[in-house]
Amino acid sequence: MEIRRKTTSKKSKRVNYIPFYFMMLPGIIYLFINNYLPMFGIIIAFKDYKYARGILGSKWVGLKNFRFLFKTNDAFIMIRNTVCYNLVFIILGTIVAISIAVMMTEIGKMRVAKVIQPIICFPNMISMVIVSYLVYAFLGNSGYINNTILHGNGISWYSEPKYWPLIILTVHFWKNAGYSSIIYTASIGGIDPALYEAAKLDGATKMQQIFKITLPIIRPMILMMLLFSIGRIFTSDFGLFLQVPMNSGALYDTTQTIDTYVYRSLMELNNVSMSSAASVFQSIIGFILVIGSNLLVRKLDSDSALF
Amino acid sequence: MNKTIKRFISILLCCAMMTTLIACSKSNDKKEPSGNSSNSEKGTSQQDTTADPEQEIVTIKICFPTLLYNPSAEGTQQTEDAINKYLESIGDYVRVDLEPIDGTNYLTELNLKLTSGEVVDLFCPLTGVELAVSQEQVLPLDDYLDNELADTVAIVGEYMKAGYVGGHSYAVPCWKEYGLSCYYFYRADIAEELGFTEDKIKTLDDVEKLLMAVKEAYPNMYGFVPTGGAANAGNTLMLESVLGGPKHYKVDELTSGVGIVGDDLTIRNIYDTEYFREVCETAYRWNQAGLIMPDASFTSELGRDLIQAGRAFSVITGYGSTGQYEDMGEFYTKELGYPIKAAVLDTFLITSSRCSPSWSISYNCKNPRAAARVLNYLYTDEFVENTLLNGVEGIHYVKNADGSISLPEGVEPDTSTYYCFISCGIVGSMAIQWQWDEAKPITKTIDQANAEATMSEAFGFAVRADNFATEASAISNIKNKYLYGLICGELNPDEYLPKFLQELNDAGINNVIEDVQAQFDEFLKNK
Amino acid sequence: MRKFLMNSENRFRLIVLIILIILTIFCLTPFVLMISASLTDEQTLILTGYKFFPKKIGFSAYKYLWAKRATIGRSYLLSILVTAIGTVINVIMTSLFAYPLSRKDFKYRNIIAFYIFFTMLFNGGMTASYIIWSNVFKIKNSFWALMLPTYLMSGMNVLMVRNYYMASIPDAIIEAARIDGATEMTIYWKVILPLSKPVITTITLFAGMAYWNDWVNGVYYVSDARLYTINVYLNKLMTNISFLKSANSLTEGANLVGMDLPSISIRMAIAVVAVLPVFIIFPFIQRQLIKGVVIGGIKG
Repeated sequence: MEIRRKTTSKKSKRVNYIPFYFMMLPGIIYLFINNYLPMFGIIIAFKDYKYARGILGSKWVGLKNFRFLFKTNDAFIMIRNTVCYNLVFIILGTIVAISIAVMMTEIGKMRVAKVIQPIICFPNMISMVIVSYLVYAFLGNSGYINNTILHGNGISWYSEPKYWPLIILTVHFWKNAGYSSIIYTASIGGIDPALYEAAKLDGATKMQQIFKITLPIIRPMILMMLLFSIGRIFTSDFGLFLQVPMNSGALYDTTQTIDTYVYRSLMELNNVSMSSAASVFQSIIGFILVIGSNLLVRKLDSDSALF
Repeated sequence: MNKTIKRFISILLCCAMMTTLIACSKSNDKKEPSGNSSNSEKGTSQQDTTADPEQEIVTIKICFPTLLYNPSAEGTQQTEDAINKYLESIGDYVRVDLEPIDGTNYLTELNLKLTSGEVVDLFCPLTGVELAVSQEQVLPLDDYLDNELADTVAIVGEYMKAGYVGGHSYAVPCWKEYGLSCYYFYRADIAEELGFTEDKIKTLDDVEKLLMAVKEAYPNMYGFVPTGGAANAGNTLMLESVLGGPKHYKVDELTSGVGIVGDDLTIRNIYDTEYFREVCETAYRWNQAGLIMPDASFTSELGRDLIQAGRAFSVITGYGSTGQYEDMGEFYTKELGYPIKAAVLDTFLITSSRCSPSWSISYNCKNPRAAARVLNYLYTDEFVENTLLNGVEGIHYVKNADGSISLPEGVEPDTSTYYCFISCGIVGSMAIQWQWDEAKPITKTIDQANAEATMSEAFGFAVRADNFATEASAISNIKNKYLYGLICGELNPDEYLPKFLQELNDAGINNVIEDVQAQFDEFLKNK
Repeated sequence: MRKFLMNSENRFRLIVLIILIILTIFCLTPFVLMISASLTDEQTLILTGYKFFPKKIGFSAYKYLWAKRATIGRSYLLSILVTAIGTVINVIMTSLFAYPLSRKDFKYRNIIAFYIFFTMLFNGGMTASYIIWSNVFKIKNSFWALMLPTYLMSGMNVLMVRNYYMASIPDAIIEAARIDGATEMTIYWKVILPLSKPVITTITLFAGMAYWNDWVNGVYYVSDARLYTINVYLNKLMTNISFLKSANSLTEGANLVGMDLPSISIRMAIAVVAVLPVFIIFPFIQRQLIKGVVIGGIKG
C-alpha cells in the first residue's frame, strides 16, 4: 500500500508543476507589464523632476519632496482623519458586509432576492460627483431636509463640521455596503449545505449556525479582506472627501484627508515630484502595516495569511 | 518573511526598474510618427517668404485646447491639409500638424506628453510661464524675437513682458483684449421700479443701497449671487476684483497670497491689508443683511442661470467690451430674457498672470526656429489663424456677406467635424479673427482697449517659486480653507481673519515675502 | 399566518426580509431623485430645488443629449464590447492564475502571492504607467488602450478566488481526480470550475463593473472621439459644461451666446443615461449567468 502511494506521488510530482506554470504565466506577465514596469515612477518622488532632463537626468533630492506633508498645521488632522475614518470603515464595513451577505443567503431562494441584489449594488455605479449633487439636494440650503423636515429651522449643513463624520459614513455605506457584501455572499455560497443540515438536526438555532459554522469557514476570506484594507489605510476616496462636502473650507477639520490635502496644496504648483512623494508615503506606511498584520495573522492561523 | 522571498522580490524589482529605465531613455529619443523630419536649418535667419529650394520641409505640431466640442480626426486632417496647402502656395518651408486636446484635460495631457518625450512643439503652458520655466518645459524665445517673431512682437508690444522670466522671453501672450471691466449686471426693470436709474449706480456703495431696496421689495429674491470659481475651488462675489482694481486699491497678487498693493512697491501679505479687510467686511455685511444667496462659496448654481430663472437680481462678472456688443447689458438682455443693464464698477488691473493663455515652444522641439515661424503666422496671417480656429471653408463654415462666418446649412455644432469653440482668444491674435454669425461693428480695437488699460507696477515680473515650494503648498491649502468663506461673506472677519492670518504666518508666508521681495528688487533694478 | 410565524426560521427570514427591503429603498431613493431632477424644467429646478416628483416636466436636458445621440450610441456599443471582451479575458486569467496558488503542495505559492500583493500596495503613478503603455507598447488611440491598462487582471480578484478555492474545494476531490490520472488542466476544467460558480460570477461582476465604470483609460490614452466609451464621453461632457461655467483663462469672455446649456438638469440626465440602461439590462444578464441562483448564492 505504502509503496504504491510513494510511486504514484513521485510520478505525479515530476509531471505536476509544469501545467501550473503555464496557468500562471499570462497573469504573471500582465502584472509585470502593468504594475512592475511602471514602478520606476517611484523614483520621481525622490528627485527634483525637470521635464527637460527626464526622470534619469533630474537631480536626487532625497526626502525633500516629502516635507510638505508634515510642515503644515493640518498634518495631524489629515492623518488622524484618514486613519480614523478608515478604521471605522473597515470594522463597521466588514460587519455590515457580512451581515448583508448572511441575510442575502437567508432569502437567497426567494424570487425577490434577484431584485434586491442588483439594487443594493447599483449605488456603486454612480460617480461621486453626481452623489455630491444628490447630497446637496438633501442638505443644501433649499434642500429637502431644510425645506421639508426642518421647516424654517434649517441648519447650514455645509458650515458645521460636527455633522460630517456621520454624513460621510452614511454616503460611504450607501455606496459600498451592497457591493462589498458580494464577495462574502459568494464565500458563504461555497459552504457545503450538509453542514447546516447536520446542525439543524442537532437543534442549533439560526444564530448558532451563523456563529459556529458560517463565520469560521469564511474567516480566511474575512482576514484577507481586512489585510487588503489595512494596506490602504492611509488612502481615502477622493470623491467622498472632497466633492461630497463641496470643498467647503469650514469642514476641513472633519473632512480633510491626506489625499484631499495633497490635492489642495498642489493645485497651483503642478509639481509631479511632490504628488508622487505623497503616494509613495501612503504606500510605504500601508506596506509596513500589512507586513506586520500578516505576521500576526500567520501566528494565529497560518492558512489565512496572505503570504 | 522568508529570506528567499525578499531576495526574489528585490531582484525582480531591480530587473523591472533597469528594463524600464533603459527603455525610457531610448524612448525619449523616439519620435512619434507625425512627420517631424530631421533638424535642418539651412534657411536664413531672416524671416522671408521666398522659397529656398534647398530648404527641407519641417512640420511643427500645434497642441491647442478645445472647449466642449472636439474635432474629429477627419476634420482635423482636412483643416491641416488646407493650412499646409496655403503654406506651400506662399512658398514657406514650414508645415503644421494639428492636435486638438480637450480643454478640461489639457494640462494633464500636456504634462504626460512632455514627460514621456512625445513631440509637442507649440503649446499653451496653462500653469503659467514661471512654473513652465522652472520645470524646464519650454525653450527661450530670445533668438527669434528679431526675426521669425518680429511681426508678432510688433503687434503684442508691451504685453510681451508677461512672457518674460528672469530677463528672457519664454512665451507669447495671445493678443486679445486684456483691459476687461468688472461689470455689475442687474435687472433694470426692478431697479427702475425702485427708483434707481443708471446714473445712480456707479460704486459699490450705490450697489449696496440698491440691494437693500431690492431686499425690502422682493424678500424672496437673491439680491446678489456669486460667479463660479475654478473647478473644485470656491466661488467668488468678485468684490476682491472690484476693490483690487485701479480705481480702488490697485492690488496685484503675485503668488501665494503675496503681492503689492497700491503704488507701494513693498511686497506684502495681501490678506493682511486694508484692502482685504474691506473685501471681507463688505461681503459679511451684505451676507448678514440677507443680500447674498446662502451657500454662496460653493453652490453650483451660478449667476446667469439664477437670473434667467428669475431667482436672482444681480451679479458681477468680468468681460471685454470690444467688437461684440456696445453695451454688455444688451447682450445679457437677449440671453436671459429680462432687461439687464450693466454698470462698470472698475476695470481689471493688468497683471502678468492675467495675460494667459500664452504660447511657448516645448523643450524637446527639434526645430524651434520653424516653430517660432509658425507661431508668428498665428498672429499675422488671417488665413492660417482662422482656418485653425474654424476649419475649412465650405465644410466647416461659410462666409456671410458682412464678413462674418456661420455654420453651413444643415450642420450643427454636434455634427460638424471641426467645431472648436475657441474664438475667445486662446490662440494667436484676436484682431484678425473672423466673427461668428454676425459682424458687430468694432467700436474699439484691441490696441485701443489695451492701451487704455492700467498696468500693474509689477507687470513683467515672474516669480520663481523654487525656494519656497513647501510654504507655497501649505499656503495653498490654507487659502482653500478660509478664502472663499471670507470673500463670500460666510465667515465673520472679526473671528476668522485673525485665524487665517495666524495660519498663514505659521505656514511661513514671511519667508515667501522675503524671497519675493529680493527677486522683485532685482527685477526693478533691471527694469 | 400565526403558524407561519411560530416557526423560528420563518420569523428570522421575515425580519431579514424587512431589513433588506428597507436597505433597498434606502439605496433606491437617490435614484428616484436623480431621475426626477433630470426630467424637471431647468428654471423650475433652480427655483424650487430637487423634488421626488418633478414640479414641472421639461425635457431640455434630454433634448440636449438627444442631439448627441450618434456619439452616445456609439460609445455605448463600444463600452459593451470592451466590457464583454475584457471581462471574459479577465475571468479566465484570474481563475487560472488562482488555481496553482490554492494548491498547498505548490512550493512557490507564497512567493507568487507576495508578488501579486505587492502590486496592490505600490504604484508607480499615472505618469510612469503612461510612459510604459504609450511609449513602450504604443497603445495610444487604439482599442487596446481601453482594454489593457489596469483592468485586465486585478491582484485582489486573484487572491479572492484563491481563498475561495482553498476554502470550498476539498483536497480529497482533487486527490481523487489525480489518482484517476487527470492532468492539472483537466482537474481545473472538470473539478474546480464547476464547483466555483459563486466566486466566478462574483469576479465577473467585479471585472465587468470595473470596465464599465472606467473613465480613466479613455481620458488619458485616447484622443479620437470614436474610441470613447460611454462613461468617458459623459464624464468629459459634464466636466466641459462645468468648466464653461467657471472662471479660468480659457473661458474668460467666452461667447456663450445661444448656448442653452441646461447646466443642472443636464448633470442628472447624464448620470441617468450612464446608469439606467445597465439597470434595465441587468436582469437579463442575471438570468443567463446564474440560472436560479443568486449571484454568489447557495449551491443547488
